[in-house]
Amino acid sequence: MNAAAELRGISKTFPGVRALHEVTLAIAPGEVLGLVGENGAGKSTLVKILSGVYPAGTYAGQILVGGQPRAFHSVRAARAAGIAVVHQELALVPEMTVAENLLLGREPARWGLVDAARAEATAKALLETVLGADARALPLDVPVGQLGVGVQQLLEIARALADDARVIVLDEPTAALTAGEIDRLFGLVRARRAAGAAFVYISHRLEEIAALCDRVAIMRDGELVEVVAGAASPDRIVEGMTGKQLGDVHTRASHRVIATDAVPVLAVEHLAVGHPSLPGRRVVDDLSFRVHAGEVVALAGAMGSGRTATLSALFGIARTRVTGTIRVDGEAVAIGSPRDAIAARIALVPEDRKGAGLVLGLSVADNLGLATLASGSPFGLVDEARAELAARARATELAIKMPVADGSAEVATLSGGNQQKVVLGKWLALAPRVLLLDEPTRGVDIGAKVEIYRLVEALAAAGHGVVLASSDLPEVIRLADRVLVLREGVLAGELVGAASTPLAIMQLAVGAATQADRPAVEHPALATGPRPRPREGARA
Amino acid sequence: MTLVPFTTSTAASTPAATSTPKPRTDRNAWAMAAVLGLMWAVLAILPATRGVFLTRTNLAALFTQSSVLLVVAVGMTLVILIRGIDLSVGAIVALTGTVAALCQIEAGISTPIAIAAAVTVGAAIGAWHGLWVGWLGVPAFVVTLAGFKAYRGAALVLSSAKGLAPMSESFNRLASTLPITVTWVILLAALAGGLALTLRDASRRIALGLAPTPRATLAGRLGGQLLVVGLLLAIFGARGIPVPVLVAGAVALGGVGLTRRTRFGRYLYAIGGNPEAARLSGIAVRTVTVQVYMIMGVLAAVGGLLLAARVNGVTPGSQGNLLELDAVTAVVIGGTSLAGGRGSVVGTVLGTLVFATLANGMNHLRIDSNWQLICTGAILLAAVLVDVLSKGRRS
Repeated sequence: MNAAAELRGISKTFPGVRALHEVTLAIAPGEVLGLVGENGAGKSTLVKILSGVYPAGTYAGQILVGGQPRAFHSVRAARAAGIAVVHQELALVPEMTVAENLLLGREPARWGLVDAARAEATAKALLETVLGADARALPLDVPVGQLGVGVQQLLEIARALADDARVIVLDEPTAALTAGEIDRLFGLVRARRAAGAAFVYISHRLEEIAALCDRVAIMRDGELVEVVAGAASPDRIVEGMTGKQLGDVHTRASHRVIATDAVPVLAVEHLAVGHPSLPGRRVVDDLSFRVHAGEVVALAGAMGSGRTATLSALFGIARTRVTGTIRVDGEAVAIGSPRDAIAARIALVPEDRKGAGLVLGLSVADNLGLATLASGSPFGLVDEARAELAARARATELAIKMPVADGSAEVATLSGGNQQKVVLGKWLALAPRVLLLDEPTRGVDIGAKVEIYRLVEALAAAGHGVVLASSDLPEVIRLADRVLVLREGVLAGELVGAASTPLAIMQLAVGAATQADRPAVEHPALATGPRPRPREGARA
Repeated sequence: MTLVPFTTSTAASTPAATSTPKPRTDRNAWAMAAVLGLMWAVLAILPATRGVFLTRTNLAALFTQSSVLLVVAVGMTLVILIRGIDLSVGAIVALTGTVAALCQIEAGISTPIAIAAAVTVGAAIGAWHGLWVGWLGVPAFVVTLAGFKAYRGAALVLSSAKGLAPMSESFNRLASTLPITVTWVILLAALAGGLALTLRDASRRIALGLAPTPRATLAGRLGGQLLVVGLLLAIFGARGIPVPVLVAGAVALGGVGLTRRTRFGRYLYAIGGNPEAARLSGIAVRTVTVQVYMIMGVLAAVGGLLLAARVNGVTPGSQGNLLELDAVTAVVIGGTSLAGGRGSVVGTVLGTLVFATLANGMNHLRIDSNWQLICTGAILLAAVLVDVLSKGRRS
């Protein structure tokens, strides 16, 4: 039998980065193929090539659908060939009704006039095939924005089926679903699989992979490492995802001895952060931890596990309800805005360096002075000469390489690593007690990475408390004295020193290991073990 | 029982946030019609208007004066639905009027060709805007702000900054009044067509086994059409309907049909509601964008022609001045969201009438024209506030 779709020798490079290398993979009809890998392993690039987001010609290799070579120049062409993607961010129009969304772009019409009654009848029939008896409970004339995310996800799948899709890619479909909705989704996928549809299922949750997939394709660093049976043990999959070899960059100098008997620089107690769009759910739930002077504590976990949300809450930029107690040097502080955070001597190096960390049009000196603008200058006047002096001193201290020595060059002309140093340097003038680093080396080349690592280590050694949120496991292991692994907003476990291996972190992050078989973890904080995620939205 | 999972996943966990999904209804339009009715009632009763407001003469004037605004506001509705804006409308009105006037006065070209020339200029300008906005990704605000300056300038250059008058007699028929019999035939034919279409829609739903149209909705739609045609006949039945009012009515009907009954209309809501979803659904977003701006350009040209006929000439420096902002005001009062994806042409028709009623009513109340500006500003803010509050309640 022909494969439903086949990828042959797919390679793709972005400027300076090899995203995919010689990936060959076939998806059989009536199969659910799991696709796993760490962030940046190349999963989404592969999906974008398969679905026509990256048009033919921008990659090497061949795509075959039903045995025929195909070159997709647009999403539309891929859809017409039977390949549909249900994206993590839902591609529905919230203001349009269920029926309108289901048939968007393919309305039954004559001379451009939509036959509304026919459209609704088609939508209704379609929903009944996809959802069975449940379809009757779903009103067709309701704007989808009023419906839950889970229902929207099912609608997206129904829409893919409306196109007679042969291959349906589900990209992290359960990230926002409740237990009941996940059951319904799985039921639907199994039913369509029995009917001959092929699915590619991307997920960080290995228990879902095990429950649903026939085979699992494991990717690492842009390559397809291996394809294992769906029943393979989660440990086996995690090994494949992380590999064993870690480069020189990631060996850390030494582990420092941290004085843990003193008052911690930062103490977070029972932190909870509400979900931005789903009231009643939380992206961080009951998180408590301490950071001592000179310590680097890393927050690890899959995307959406609450790393960034925790930092946002600590810096006063979470857009949702935050509860819990935050203490800096033992003093409880109320943080409702970045101003509060800065006053409490907490600084943030944000994930989006260009969007949130820097003002790209301003000079290096101006950027370095941004955080201190509010203080020191009488009558709100800026002392340009003093600012330049301070900038020069800071640039020397941090070894920022600038095209012009006086700091007058636009910060946009600096390399990524040097830009990141500017973001760090901006805060140092305030002598912060706590430094929050969110993905500090994303998009930074390897040399600058090492420099930033050294800088972070030096800052810690100088007595700052550092909280690092990163999806880069080698980075976490290199920098952190302690690793807190988050899983869906809850502390899944804590790893200290040598116990923090990629394997141990991934196991905690995806919930692969049970308490009994988790190896090499010896820390009292783990006595509680990983807690099951509360399914608040579940139906009684 | 199976309804529970389909409400919202939040509903299950937080009873406070529970809201049953509501189908779209005509309720907003009826609410606004009620506001308009209330305004008319108040203006009729207030002693300060000396009973002149609710007279045939005054209402005929109100409709005639708002016809140009309505034509361009319908176009503006489409543009705003796809998250755009067109600030050059007033300048296009001046330029297309100037083109028509030059054809007539300088070149002695016949009326149909003069009209065609003006409409072509409008369409070309719209295509130009669409190219910049849709294909080059330049913000519509900037592109049409440039047009706001440039087309006014072009009108002044072409006319050597002089007023152009008079237009030919045949051209000025665009501002004439139709005979009484023609008025009745057109209005009754429109009513019959509308009622038939509404009933056909309802019967097709039943034939295809869908939930029948709710009785109240059906009654509302039929009653609404009777009400509108009845009102128009009451005002114009004895004097004949002016051509601008008829044109504006046709444009409004066309706009309603386009937005509610065509694929193109669906795509406007899709693009405004979630451009990425529209693109991923295979909608040719850029082409639709160009088409929308072209429709806007053509409608601005129609407005320019109607205005040139009404004033029997063109003053290139001031004709249509600030019309674009009045149009945006009418659209926003009519409940269309500047964020795109939400709104209706019916709302714009009612918004235009509310806007025109305010102006007309304040005149009758002898409110100083400077104060009228302040009042209009306040009403605009109030309308936007209603929009923001209703949006906040839903999310």
